[in-house]
Amino acid sequence: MIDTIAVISGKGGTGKSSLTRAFFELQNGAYAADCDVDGANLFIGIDHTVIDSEDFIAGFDYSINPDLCTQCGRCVELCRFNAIDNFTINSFLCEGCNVCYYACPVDAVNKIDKKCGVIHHAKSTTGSFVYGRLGTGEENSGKMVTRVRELAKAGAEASGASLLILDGPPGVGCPVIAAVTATTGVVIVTEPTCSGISDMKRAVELVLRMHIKISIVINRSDINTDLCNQIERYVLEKGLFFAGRIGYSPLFNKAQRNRCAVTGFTDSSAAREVKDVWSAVCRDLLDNKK
Amino acid sequence: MTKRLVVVSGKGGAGKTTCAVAVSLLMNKKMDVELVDADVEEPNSNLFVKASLNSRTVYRKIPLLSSEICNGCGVCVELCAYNAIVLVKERPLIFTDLCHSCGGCSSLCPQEAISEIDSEYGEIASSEKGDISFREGRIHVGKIQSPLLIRELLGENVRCDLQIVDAPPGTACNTVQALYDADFALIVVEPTPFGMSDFALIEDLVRQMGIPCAVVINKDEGVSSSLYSLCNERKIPIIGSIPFDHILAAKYSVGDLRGYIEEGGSVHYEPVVDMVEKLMSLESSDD
Repeated sequence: MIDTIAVISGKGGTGKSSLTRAFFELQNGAYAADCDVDGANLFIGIDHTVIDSEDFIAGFDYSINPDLCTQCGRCVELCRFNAIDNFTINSFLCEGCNVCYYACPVDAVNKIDKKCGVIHHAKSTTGSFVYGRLGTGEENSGKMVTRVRELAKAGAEASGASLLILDGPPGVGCPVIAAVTATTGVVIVTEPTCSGISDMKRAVELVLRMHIKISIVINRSDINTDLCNQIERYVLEKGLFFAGRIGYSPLFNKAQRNRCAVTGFTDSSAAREVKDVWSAVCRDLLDNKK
Repeated sequence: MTKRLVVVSGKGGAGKTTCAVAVSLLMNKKMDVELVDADVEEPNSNLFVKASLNSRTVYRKIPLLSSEICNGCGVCVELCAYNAIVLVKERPLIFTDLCHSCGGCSSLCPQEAISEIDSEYGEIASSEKGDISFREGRIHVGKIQSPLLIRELLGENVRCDLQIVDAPPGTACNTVQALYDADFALIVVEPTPFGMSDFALIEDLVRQMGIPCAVVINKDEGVSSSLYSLCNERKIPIIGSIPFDHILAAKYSVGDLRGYIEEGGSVHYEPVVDMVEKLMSLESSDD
């Protein structure tokens, strides 16, 4: 089975996608996937060609047929999401629970398969990757992440890839759980700020519950050296692996604009630090496993 | 009538919390403001507000099967949209972690074999005192019912002139819940390619939901021409531009936004506050 590393952070904007992009470049023969389906960014940082796309169908769109509806009010009474107003279903509030559909005594509620987004298969000079784009405001982001991860795994295995690298979503909820499930190890990218640390700790708690190995990376380490030291002490106390610090560099934004990896700026300290971090991550999560 | 301003960004780390806290503190000098942190998976606002909080546990309903009444008909399995019930040896097995608390299985079981019990899944905390009213939701790590907690948090009755909501990142269910019933959305944009892509998504969502909005550019490095043309095309006012600032980054890192605002940072946020007041017609609410 192919090894999979997911890159998460808890807090958004710590540099998950920029680092995933660089790791993808550094790892020969890697396959990648963007599991942040409601804010996909990896594809923007890679010059690529989409070779295949598929609709992501999940859940249903519900509607009430006014010709059949007797306005008995059973659906309104049972809908916990207050999504039925004046016998019309508000799609922003509807959580697709099926209750109105099964509760209606005169079968006036219709449901049709819902297209929640699109999943793209792409190729690039760096390697092949999969990314999902959930329709804005749609449900089922967790299910879509699972589907993206599974498609990527199948693609990676079929192509004989060396490793699958997943760019994860922010937070600690359903999409993060879906991204991290069945991975070999997780990289948590944090930053030396009070919010970066608070969010990292919640992400660590989640991944430890799932019994998956963790490597911690500090990005933009020069914001606050004291807090970097505090993070390193926490990593030690928790028995996690510390993969290194990466300093603030405007080259990360430049890399985004050039659609390349920051490691492309070969003589820069950013490129060196990212390389060192990736070697450390591989040593910890892949070489030492089990 | 309390009006609600929701601060969103699509992209995480664009500066929602900084903006929500700064605008709340400044606006609170003019009217009664409540700041609500609805990023329940990673709530951070109070790291900057530093209110002393009273928290209470929040519960949701989960199903409980009476196996002596159940006849194994499988109706619950068929209707559960979250695959939280499977039939094992003709008896339903309920995975409560996957349950969305819709109540379908308990209310529609033909045998009335399923009841509901309370299950703890997070906390809601409120400020006791202090210069600004504050509330936050905090979901227990490992629970997936964030939209439910956001709905609970924002459904509570409040007494203030303006409620400012720090929303979660993304453009999916959590953000929809935070935006629902908003009178106005403030979109914080980081003018990088990633930030621009996520801005297009959140702007689309806000527009679909029919919520008037305005943009604040954060970490502005003077390279935002594509953002200006996009906002111009969509007729979205840009009401503020916060420059990239190492001093702010250092103050932010230790939670000292109040210090940053007092020591000159307010100059960047005051125009935002003035424009929000105009765009939301907040002055007229006193009449």
